[in-house]
Amino acid sequence: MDGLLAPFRSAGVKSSRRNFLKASLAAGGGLLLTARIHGIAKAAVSGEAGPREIALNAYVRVAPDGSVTVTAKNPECGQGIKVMLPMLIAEELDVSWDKVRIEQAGYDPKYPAQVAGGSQATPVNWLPMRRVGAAGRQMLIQAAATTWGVQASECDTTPGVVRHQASGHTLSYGELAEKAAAVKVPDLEKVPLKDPKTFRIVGQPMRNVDGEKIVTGQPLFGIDVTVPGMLYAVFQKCDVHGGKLVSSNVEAIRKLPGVKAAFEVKGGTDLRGLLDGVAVVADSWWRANRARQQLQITWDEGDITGQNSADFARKAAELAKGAPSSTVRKNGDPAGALAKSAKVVEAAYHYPFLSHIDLEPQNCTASFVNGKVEIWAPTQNPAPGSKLVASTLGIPESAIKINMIRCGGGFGRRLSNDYMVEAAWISKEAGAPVKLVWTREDDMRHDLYRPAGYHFFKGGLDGAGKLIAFTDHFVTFSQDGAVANSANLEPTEFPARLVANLELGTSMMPLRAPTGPLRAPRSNGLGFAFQSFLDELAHASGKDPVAFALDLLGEPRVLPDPPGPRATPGFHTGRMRGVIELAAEKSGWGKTKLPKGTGMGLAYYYSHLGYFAEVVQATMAANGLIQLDKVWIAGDIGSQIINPLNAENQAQGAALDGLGTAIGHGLTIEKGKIVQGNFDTVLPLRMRQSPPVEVHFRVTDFPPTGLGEPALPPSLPALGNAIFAATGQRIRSLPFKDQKLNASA
Amino acid sequence: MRYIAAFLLALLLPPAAQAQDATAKPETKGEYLARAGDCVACHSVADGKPFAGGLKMGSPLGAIYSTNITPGKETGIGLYSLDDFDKALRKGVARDGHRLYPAMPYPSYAKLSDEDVKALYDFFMKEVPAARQANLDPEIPKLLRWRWPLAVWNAMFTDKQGFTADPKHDAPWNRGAYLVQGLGHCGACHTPRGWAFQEKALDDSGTAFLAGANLDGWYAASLRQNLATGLGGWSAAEITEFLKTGHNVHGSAYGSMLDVVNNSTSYLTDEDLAAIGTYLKSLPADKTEPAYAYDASTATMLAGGHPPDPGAALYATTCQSCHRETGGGSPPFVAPLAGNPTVLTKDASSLINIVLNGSQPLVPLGVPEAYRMPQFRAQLTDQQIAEVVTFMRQAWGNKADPVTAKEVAELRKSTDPSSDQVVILRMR
Amino acid sequence: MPYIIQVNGKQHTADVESETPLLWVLRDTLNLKGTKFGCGAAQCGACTVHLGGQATRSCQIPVSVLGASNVTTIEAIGETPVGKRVQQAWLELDVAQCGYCQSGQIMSATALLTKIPNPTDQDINQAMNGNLCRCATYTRIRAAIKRAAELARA
Ligand code: FES
Ligand code: FES
Repeated sequence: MDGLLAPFRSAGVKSSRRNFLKASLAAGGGLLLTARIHGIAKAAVSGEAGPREIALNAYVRVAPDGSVTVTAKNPECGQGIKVMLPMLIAEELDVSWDKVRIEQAGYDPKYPAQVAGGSQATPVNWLPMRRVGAAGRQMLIQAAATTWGVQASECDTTPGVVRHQASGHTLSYGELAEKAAAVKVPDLEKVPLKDPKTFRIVGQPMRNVDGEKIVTGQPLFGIDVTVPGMLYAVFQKCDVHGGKLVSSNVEAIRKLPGVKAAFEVKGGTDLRGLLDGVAVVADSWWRANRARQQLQITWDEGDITGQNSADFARKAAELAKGAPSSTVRKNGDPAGALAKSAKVVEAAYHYPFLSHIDLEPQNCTASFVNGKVEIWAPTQNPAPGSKLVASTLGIPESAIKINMIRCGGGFGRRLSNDYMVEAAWISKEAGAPVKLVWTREDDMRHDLYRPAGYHFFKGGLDGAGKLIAFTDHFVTFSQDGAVANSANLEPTEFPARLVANLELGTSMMPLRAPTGPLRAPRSNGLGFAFQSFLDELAHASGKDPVAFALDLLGEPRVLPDPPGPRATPGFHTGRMRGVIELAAEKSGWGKTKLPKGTGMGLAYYYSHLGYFAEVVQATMAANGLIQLDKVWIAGDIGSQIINPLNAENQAQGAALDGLGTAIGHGLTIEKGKIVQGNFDTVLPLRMRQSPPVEVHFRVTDFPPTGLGEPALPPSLPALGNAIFAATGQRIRSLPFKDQKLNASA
Repeated sequence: MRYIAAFLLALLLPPAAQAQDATAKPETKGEYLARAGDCVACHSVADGKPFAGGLKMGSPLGAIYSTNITPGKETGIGLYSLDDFDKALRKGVARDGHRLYPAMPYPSYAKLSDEDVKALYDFFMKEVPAARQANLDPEIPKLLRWRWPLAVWNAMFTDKQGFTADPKHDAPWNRGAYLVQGLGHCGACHTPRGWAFQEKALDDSGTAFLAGANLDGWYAASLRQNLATGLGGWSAAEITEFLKTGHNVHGSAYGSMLDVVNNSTSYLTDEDLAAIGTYLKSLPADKTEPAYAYDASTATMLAGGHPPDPGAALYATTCQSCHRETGGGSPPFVAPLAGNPTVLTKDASSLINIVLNGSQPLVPLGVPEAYRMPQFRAQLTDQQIAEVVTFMRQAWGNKADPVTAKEVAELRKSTDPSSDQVVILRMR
Repeated sequence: MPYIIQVNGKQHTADVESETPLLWVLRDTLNLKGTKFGCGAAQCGACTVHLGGQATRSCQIPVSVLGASNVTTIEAIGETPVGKRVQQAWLELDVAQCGYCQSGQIMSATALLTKIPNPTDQDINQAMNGNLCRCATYTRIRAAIKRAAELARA
């Protein structure tokens, strides 16, 4: 079993610390299991850190009445983790799911991996959480065996009950709980796990634990938090990110109705921290915001030369004429191979800056009293938030308590905690608990953007239509001299390792606006560019895109990553072939006769350890609009779909998110500012545009992995490729709405 | 009834407290007159210095830029004597003798009294900070830049006479007439123009005066007493409310009227606004038309949930949540569409324009409006906008012609989306 | 000034400015947090309530125009038979991901099913067009609306 983590270890990181499981008597009686297990996480969160060792904690309490409480330690932002992790424990503990109560943990440094990002919760927790449950089960069995004076090996369990096979004696977990607390804890590494074929919980459809509250409108989200004596705050920053406050009419604002405090804030230079601005605190949010709308502020915007989308496009085209300033990968002789190619295809691709547009605007409640601050935050990543608050307010982390509140969407936005430090600071200055709520415009104009990108591709095909040369000059962005967050290109980007003569190179343009990870970071843009261009090459080769892809992938094998901090278990061509074939089969690729004006597009992508191929069918309607007919998703996320009910929802959502992004998202920068501010200019997918989505999983013999992200990247190019198939028009720039192809029905 | 109640309520409310400073009430007579003339709207740009010019304006010959009228000596009007200033203001002739393009409403300003010209001169010379900012050349082809034809134009179309009070009317009426015809230069947008781009009438002696006109893709509605498409259904008090706040029960200000309310009329005294109301109420209709009558069947249909055609369906999905199934909106905050002259008027440009581009926030006296019209340029096609606008023009008893996708397409090309940013032009 | 409004069949007083949107009166004055803020511009539908039975974006309704009309919010929609079935279908199909949009979705779906008990896909597209789901749970929302209609027939 341990071997399943081996691929991570091959990356050169070793588990060095000891795991432990502690059993104790729970308050109010019963068994309390505390586990600390070390595992390796592939930190795909920021795209910066490599795999790292993390400790996972678990708390499981078996009460005398037989009920089981499991602490859900990770932030929940719609990915379903609050259900999934407890499922793993409950499965191996062997209790019935309706006896399990799930408790959301707050931020606590004793849980070092309280992060929602990178689709890493599944690969990281899969074995450790099961082991905790299995160990608990063993202890309960041991307690029963001792009671009966029999061998533990003669006993087994049915949900919530230990049974002695020979005598037919039974004792419930509740009856055994206290006694089990005294049993010696088994070695976690050695504790036997269930055969997946006998799973009763894992693999079963399990519903959202907060479902009832959601459908009845109970307070649940950060924006719903109320604490006694709370006031409401808004914070006006400079729309040029990091602009400095010169002067304001804040005195006049203090006189407005309901305003309790209004003050200028001098922030720092970290675009992810507290920035300059003016805070307005009032007895209702509406009054605070109305007062804020009357602010007149003079800003020092700093140097905004060239900080315009139009300038970036011009500059990128210029840079593309020269050689890349740095080479990411080079194999063979790309120039020579291009010169020898029977056919050369050249194309420039572009995708825009994106905002995360979580439907719940950023918000946070903070109460600063006597040098201590309590925070209620919808955050995907509380640990850095705690550090940020500590350093900005000049208090120790021990004086900070963070309650993690369900997030109304995350998508990577809430990995940064700028809104958290703002709330804490404003509470301290205002001398009262405050709930800070951003407007939609604040949210869109003060994000950490998915960086735009410009790709200049060349591909060469030989006489037989085989891809013999491939080059990409990727013009991307730098920030303070280094590559901007989530704006990098890796040497493993597909089709690297499969084309003999290949060059990937980058050049950079300086950017003022901050960037950050957005659902399937990097892959969400790269996937569009590379997979669209590969489709162009497929058509140029005269082959069907599915056949072209299978040819390119070749025999099933693992293409190892170059050793380094970002190494993954490598790219398995067979797993990718498998999902492409499955998507083709389910969609009737090449078999269904499509009417004129209708086309299917295929794209496939590997990210976050997941393999996905997607087919989109689209029709050019008489009104000149693209209509999305249907989407087929084929995914390989390993040996087990832990919660199929949620898995289908996540995969559908990810693909539709990608399609919505392709059609209607996209920000422009003018004079350093984001132009768009609300959903009249950034257009998320709507019901009328949303096609049926079929989801199929290919269960393979590999460790299970996450799903929130890898289903997204293929959908954008699959749509572009479908539009090409339907209309003959190749779209090389996102969003499609700018190409007058706003999908509609 | 509900609207009337809402309106009365609005009148009873104390005015919201205002954040003071750059938007403070005018301090001197000259500043007040400059507000009434809305000089700042054309002679300033959002992020520029007050009155330093630089605003791009369309003209039939090509774009021109407003000029620096700060007392700066090199680039402004610092060297102007009172007489020079007067010539520019009332005759359209600059100090160096060149003739101003009639984008400068000197045919209207010709009505100004000597006393007011002096007060304005004092304001610009002593109270406006000097700004060094060179004027921009017009983007008019060289050949067409000769300005001597303007002299002929002036001779033919401008009024030599100043304003003379009409003894048949009382003082408020005459004050209203002076403001509307003169400083307010309402005719610049609301009076149809003739073959040489001249306003067809400069005062109430002509029936074309303020009869409604299309300028730059916006239709400025008739200010005459036309029952449905003009101000026939508006009381003088409602006209006053509109000018003061940008809203009333009948509609909201948009397009360049928004700038007028933001920078000019919201600063006028209640007496002056009442005088304008009195005067406008006296302008007879230039065409007979039935008064607007509300028809409740549209509301019943929309409430029932089966919109019969694409226009109604689009209305239900995109407009109804604010403008309501009744078409009544939530005045004065959200404009009604039922009986709104902008919806009823023959030329649908403004209505299309607002749907395409949304509306920039109104900021009367520095307080941004609470509700803003979003833009639908990216969300709806030309065809869809034509359908939904046509629906609005024929629902709730509205009777106006359908709109075609072609009209929408043309406006889409020639207009830009409006920004959601609050713009406050400073005068000091 | 104090406004007397009817919410979920009860009378409430809200002492606020006339322009204040119903959304903020519900959330901050009456402490009904089920109605959500997403855009403040009638573009997302998170704030949907029923006003005289019509699905309406509460962020665009000034409190001063409410008069005597009854406002129904997500907190009380389960008291209507249609609302209850919609909630049941939503749970059955496990529609929500983050869940933030869902109270608005349920309000729009209930208004639709009240008017049209057996909606077509086209009816659903129209009635639900104003409600964004950033997690894109549209597939399940559509299915849940059909399921709620089926529950009514059963
Ligand atoms: S908050 Fe009202 S529609 Fe978005
Ligand atoms: S479930 Fe997250 S926005 Fe709809």
